[in-house]
Amino acid sequence: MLEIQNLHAKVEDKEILKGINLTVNPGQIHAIMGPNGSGKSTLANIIAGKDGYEVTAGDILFEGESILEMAPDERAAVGIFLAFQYPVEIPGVSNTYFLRSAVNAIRRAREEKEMDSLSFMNMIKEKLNLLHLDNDLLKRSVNEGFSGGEKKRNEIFQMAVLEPKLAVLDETDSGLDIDALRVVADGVNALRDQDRGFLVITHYQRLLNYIVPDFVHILMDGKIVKSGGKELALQLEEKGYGWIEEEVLAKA
Amino acid sequence: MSSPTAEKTMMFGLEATHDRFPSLIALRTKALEIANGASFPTRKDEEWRYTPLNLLRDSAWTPGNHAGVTAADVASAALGDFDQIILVFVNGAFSAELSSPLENEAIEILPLSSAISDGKAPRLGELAAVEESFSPVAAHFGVLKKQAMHQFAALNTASFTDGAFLRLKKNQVVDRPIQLLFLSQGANVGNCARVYVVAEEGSKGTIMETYASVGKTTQSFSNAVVEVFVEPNAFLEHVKLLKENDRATHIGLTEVHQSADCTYKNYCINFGGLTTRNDLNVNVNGQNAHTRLDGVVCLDKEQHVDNHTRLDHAQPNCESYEVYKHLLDDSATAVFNGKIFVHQDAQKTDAKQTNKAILLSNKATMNTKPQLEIFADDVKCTHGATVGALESSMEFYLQSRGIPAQEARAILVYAFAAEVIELIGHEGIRTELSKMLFTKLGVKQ
Repeated sequence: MLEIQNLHAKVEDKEILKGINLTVNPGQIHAIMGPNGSGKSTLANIIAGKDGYEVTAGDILFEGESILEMAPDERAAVGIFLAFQYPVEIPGVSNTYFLRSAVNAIRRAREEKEMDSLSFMNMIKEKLNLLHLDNDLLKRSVNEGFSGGEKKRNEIFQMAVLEPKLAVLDETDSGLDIDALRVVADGVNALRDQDRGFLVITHYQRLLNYIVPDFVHILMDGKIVKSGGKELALQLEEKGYGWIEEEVLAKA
Repeated sequence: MSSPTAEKTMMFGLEATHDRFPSLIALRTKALEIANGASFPTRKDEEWRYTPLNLLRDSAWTPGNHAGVTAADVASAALGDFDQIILVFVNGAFSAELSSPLENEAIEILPLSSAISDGKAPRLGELAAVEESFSPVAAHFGVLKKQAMHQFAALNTASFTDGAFLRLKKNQVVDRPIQLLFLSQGANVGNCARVYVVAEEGSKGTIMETYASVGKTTQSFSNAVVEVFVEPNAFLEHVKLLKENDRATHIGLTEVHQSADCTYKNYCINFGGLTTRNDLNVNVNGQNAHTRLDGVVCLDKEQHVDNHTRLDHAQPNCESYEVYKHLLDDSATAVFNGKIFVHQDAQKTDAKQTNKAILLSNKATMNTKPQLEIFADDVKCTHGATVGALESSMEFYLQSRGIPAQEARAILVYAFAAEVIELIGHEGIRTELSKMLFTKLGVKQ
């Protein structure tokens, strides 16, 4: 469903991604791990279509079509979702209004009928129950005054409502204590199914104890230097990133 | 320098109205001297620096007539739909047939002309009461006169023909808001409205002024003076809505006197007009008083709004909050000048002032000047001003959820301005103003 082909990208004049190749198929969870500054968040932002990055070579295909020329909302409409590392606070816009605007904008883009308020509220309540979240969340302004854990839970809630085909989780575990981490992971697991792909970006292995990946990729200096199964994450946890650097250097 | 200025102060048929209220002759003669003696403000005057009044100066103004406005005009001009009492003024004249019945147990409502003129009060049996309430009117006019009032206020005093007199009675709660609807209709009409409000001890209520244009109104000029007295323990919400057409000039002075333990909240909503100048002066003369001064300015094309607020903390232990937000598109310009004076006796004052502007176009201009002057030593006072574009991180966040860029921007500008509207206590007014803002910005509801 997602094919990243030889992706090179720079920010201002600095080359950050130096040839990434990665394929995510429906139903798979891929984890991308790497040290700070390796390009993890850049990759997530480029997939979602954030401004400020220049793709200098390569392509990103989603269901066979290049998405590089698409606006962020068009990417959301085809089924791509980014859970932000730092969710943005939007004072004055309630979660309900925000989500309803999003759901109906996506429906319009897909030439589907918009949802009326009753069916929308029913759907929202169902998702709240699925994730064991409180009704209060709906009335509050988007992320305003939320704790770190609440913000990340709200990201997962939005994901549940928008039902993307591909979800990219950018360091969703950062800043969370173990309880909050578990809530977020339970949410993701509840949304796992055979049609949905996940790209889980993380610095630490601990998230992967709860969201068990099918594949783990190590990103260093803008390239995927090693790929493997879930056991690769455990090795990293044990030995740190140093041994991979050495391995890469040895090959070079 | 007599001729141009003197001519301009004659523009509302001053001779005709001069003798209308015999009891005010001395006051009005004095006011006329002030108006005539002052030179027309230009951009060289610091207080008028960013507000051009050429159109006002160079146009001829007539009082206009009072006919032809229908209930349908009122319905579309007034802020509705909620249970309220509406007083309608057409080109400065009170229209009883377009207004709600004025009888109310909790509040005395009169056209100002009736409150002032002997024998002309609508309820002759209560004339004594009217006279009694009139004497403070005269006393308070005197208060205003003592202020170094600007010439437009003097012009108003010299030439107003009517207005409203509202007295929220002691310990009464007035559930229905009172909306004073000032309509301009016809070509080059100019008028002066005068409003006098007393919230007596322990009373609670909401009043609203709405300025609107009717039909094919071309240029118009409304020059309002509103005096508000908030007595001990009273609670008054005061909304001013400007939705005149884009050829209208409005100059308004609101002078507020707060006593001890009272709450006064003013919301200034600028959604229309070509050139608008609002002066809001609040004198906090008692301890433990609460004050809120909030404003929204939402303009486009060539529209201009100048909000001058002045808050005088004269007594200790008071708090005041002030938030003004501006959304400026096209070549719109706005001015915010917020003065807060904390006088020597006003220890333990807690005053916060913020003004923010989002410029939606390269040609829009914001001039902002927060001005705090503090003469007491044990106070908390802060002020801040920001002017900028929409935050791109917010825009991207909404877009990443599927909301197209244009809609995302509309939602964000709405939210920016709505933050002030949501402070309004009266649900009907709050909801209707939110709807107006939605429509103005083209946001889906």
